[in-house]
Amino acid sequence: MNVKKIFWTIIAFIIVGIYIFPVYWIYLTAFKDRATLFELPPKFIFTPVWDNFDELMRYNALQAVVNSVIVTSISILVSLLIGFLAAYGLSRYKYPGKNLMLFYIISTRMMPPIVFIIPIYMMFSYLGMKGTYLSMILFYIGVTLPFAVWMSKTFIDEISIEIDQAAQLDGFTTIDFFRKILIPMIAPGLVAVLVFSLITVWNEFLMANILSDPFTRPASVALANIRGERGFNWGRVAALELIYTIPVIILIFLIQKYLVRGLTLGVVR
Amino acid sequence: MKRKTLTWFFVIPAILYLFIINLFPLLWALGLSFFKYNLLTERTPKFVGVDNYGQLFNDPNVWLRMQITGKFILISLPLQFILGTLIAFLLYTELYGRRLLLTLFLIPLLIAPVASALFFRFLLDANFGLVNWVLSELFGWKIYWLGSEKVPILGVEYALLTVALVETWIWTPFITLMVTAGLSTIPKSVLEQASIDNISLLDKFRYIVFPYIKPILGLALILRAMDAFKTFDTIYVLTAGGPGVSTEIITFYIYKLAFQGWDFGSASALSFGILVIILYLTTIFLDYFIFKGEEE
Amino acid sequence: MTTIQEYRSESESESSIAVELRNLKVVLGKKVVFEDLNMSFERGRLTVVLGPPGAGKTTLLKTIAGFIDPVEGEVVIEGRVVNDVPPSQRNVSMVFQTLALYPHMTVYENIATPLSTRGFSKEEIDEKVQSLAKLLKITHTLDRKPETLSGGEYQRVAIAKCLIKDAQVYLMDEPFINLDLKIRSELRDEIKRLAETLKKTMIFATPDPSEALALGEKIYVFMEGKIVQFGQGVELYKMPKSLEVATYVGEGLFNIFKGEILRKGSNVTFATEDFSAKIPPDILADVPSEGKYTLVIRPEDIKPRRFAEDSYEFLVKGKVYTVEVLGGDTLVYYELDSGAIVKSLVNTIYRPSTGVEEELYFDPGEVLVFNEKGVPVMKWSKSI
Repeated sequence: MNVKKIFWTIIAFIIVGIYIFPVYWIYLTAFKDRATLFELPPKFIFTPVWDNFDELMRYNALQAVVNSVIVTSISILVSLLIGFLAAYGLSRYKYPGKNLMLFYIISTRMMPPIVFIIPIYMMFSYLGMKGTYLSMILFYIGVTLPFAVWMSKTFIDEISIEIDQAAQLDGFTTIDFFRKILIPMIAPGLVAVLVFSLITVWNEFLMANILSDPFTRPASVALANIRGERGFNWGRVAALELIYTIPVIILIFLIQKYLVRGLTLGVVR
Repeated sequence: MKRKTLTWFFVIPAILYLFIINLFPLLWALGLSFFKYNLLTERTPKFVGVDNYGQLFNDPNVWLRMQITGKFILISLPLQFILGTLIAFLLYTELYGRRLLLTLFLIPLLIAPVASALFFRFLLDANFGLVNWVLSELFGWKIYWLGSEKVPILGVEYALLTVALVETWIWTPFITLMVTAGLSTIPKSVLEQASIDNISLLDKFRYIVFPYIKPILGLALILRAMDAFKTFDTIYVLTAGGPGVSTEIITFYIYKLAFQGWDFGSASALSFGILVIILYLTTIFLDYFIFKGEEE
Repeated sequence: MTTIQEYRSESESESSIAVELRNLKVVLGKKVVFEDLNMSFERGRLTVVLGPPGAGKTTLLKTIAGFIDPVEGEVVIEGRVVNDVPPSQRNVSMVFQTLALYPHMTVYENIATPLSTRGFSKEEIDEKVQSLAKLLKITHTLDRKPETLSGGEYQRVAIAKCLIKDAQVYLMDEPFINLDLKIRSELRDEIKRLAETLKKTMIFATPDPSEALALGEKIYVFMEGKIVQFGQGVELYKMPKSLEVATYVGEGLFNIFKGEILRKGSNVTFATEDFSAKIPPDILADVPSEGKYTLVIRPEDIKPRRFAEDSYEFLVKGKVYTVEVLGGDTLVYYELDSGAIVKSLVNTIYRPSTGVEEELYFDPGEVLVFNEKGVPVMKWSKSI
């Protein structure tokens, strides 16, 4: 029995390993120097260098990553704040039209983004906000909010309402109740919500492409348009891609426990 | 203030926000679709009722893109499902490190499509890509993965095939995840009974496994069919719709209409048309799976 | 023969009522949980609300606490109408059915919260926590997290947390469910002791009749949103106001026989397919008409011949079905010809073999007779 298990384990790791090979290959490429880059046969073993990363900094290519960080962090935090509050209300109380609200929230997942690009573009143009961080942030809050509400609600639902009631009798104000009781109790879940929102916003391209300008464009836009850039070089692209994708990989290992729950409630893309 | 009224104020911001960022633009787009509004030619939008829709319905360009979209879906969807399910079964066997494997396997799904597309753009380069090198060493082939040559047997351009394959690479893990979730609902007792009864593998699949994963597969099918229309990033990066227009699936075409042709009116109409199709697809599938489910 | 007088305690005066519910109507969703409900709870005493699951006990307690708003009627605590007062200001403390301890805080912090949120000094809090912990024997758990506690300890912590603050009424919602019998009776005695020493107004909800009876205080029997009886435990046991109450309070122990009453001159006989029993007419209110009735005999009032008192009369023959030893007593189950089971409580350890046939005798002065509508036709039922 044991041998069989090891056998399948090895097979599985080989298959998964082959499957994610492209990621590995690019990471490898990021450390190759100009010469090794295009060598045929392609080298697996070589002396790694930091050249590409240095060049990225010289060309100020990391501005795009900084933009990504700014836009992503602000939108996911605001989204979680608004979403958590709404989730609390929806979890605990019956409101007229509550089911309608929930349905509306889920249905936003079905919408193809393409329907939104023109009106959103027009909206932010009229407001004179084209190319600003704010326009992207406002849009992304809207994108991540339904999921934040839905996921937060599932975590809050798991807490018995008698905890709320006990806290009321204990004399906690609502805010203190959130700060000292509820949020600590569902903290890991909220972190997972943040991570899922982060991945969504961090990876988004279409709207960012439309709403940003060359100074505010996030990394996704920078990378997508990189073929036409001056001084385009696969080595630097690989380095940039490594910097761009590693954070997400690290994060999904952090929230492994919640991956299935979050993804099967509707993949957020 | 009463707790209940206070929490009502908590819910309002979210609802309002979604109204402004989601519902309002949707209605705006719907409204736009009834106007002739091309930023290049018209100064002011002109109301034309359902003319836009009529024109699009007769537009060969639109039909061509629908065909391309259809081919794209026909290649990528079955591939995703078969591959995804097989790997789910693989991960379902007795082995070590299942969670690690699943997490690793989810990487393609969770990193940016833009990044994934670039990975493959590099790997599939006709001249220095690793894939072609391997193929040339083994078989002496040199494939222009992003070219307009037709793939033997399938009859689509290599470019379209490549886009479909990259999308498959990205989304197969999603199917695996769903199937794994479905498999985990099979009660242990049922499995033990099956191994005691010593039935054939095929029958095992048909009668024991399949009923449990069918609802999940159905859900995944609906989701993926709808999502297929959303494919954009990979196309933008790999082919920009080309060569020619061979990889312009319908949503890419809409994008071009709007932000290269600046024809907001038609683009809105077309995007709404797609929305309707997606909704219709959803209802068909929901019907099928609810109805079928009740039959049994 | 029992009389009301033996069991009625001193009458209550208006001024000793701590909590009063007037014409209360509560609706949850579409369901009317109770309406036109009037209850009063004496200050400084423990009052039990006894009722089967779903009767509305939790709703009742939560309405008093303020988590549920009544549609009609008033909740009055210490003379103050509190309908519009939020729970945090009603001066109420509660042990919830789910116990609701905060998992991320230590036991000490949990017990202290009702005080620490209200600005008591550290020393004061410490003093109170320590003394309560000592009282409830949980001092050794103070530094631990709730998840590490055993069932009994967890409950005690919840009770300590409830009692630490000075409140006008203490509500306990089935605090002992899911605990095993031994711990339950320990905690029950604990609560009784606390009630007597602290002299606080307590309302204790439970679905368990034996628990209610063991607490020995005034009990409201609450079924389907209505009060069906109010009185001491003994009253409920000996003089249940309806067959419903009798069946509930007797929970599987009482012997319940459905049959007919036949009269021959001044003789009243109760007959089932298994037996005929003579009922002494002086325990009945009026001379009952013939017809369908239900006879209830408590297990301690039926004994096999050798344990029967002289005043007992013959009932029926039965075969020993099974035997249950309860502490120093034995509950013997007898099977009758028709297959009906009769339970007899013998005040010693007695182990007859299965299948042995014995003659069963009963105490005719202690039976309960109910008519078709479930109304008792006993002499005492007139004055209830």
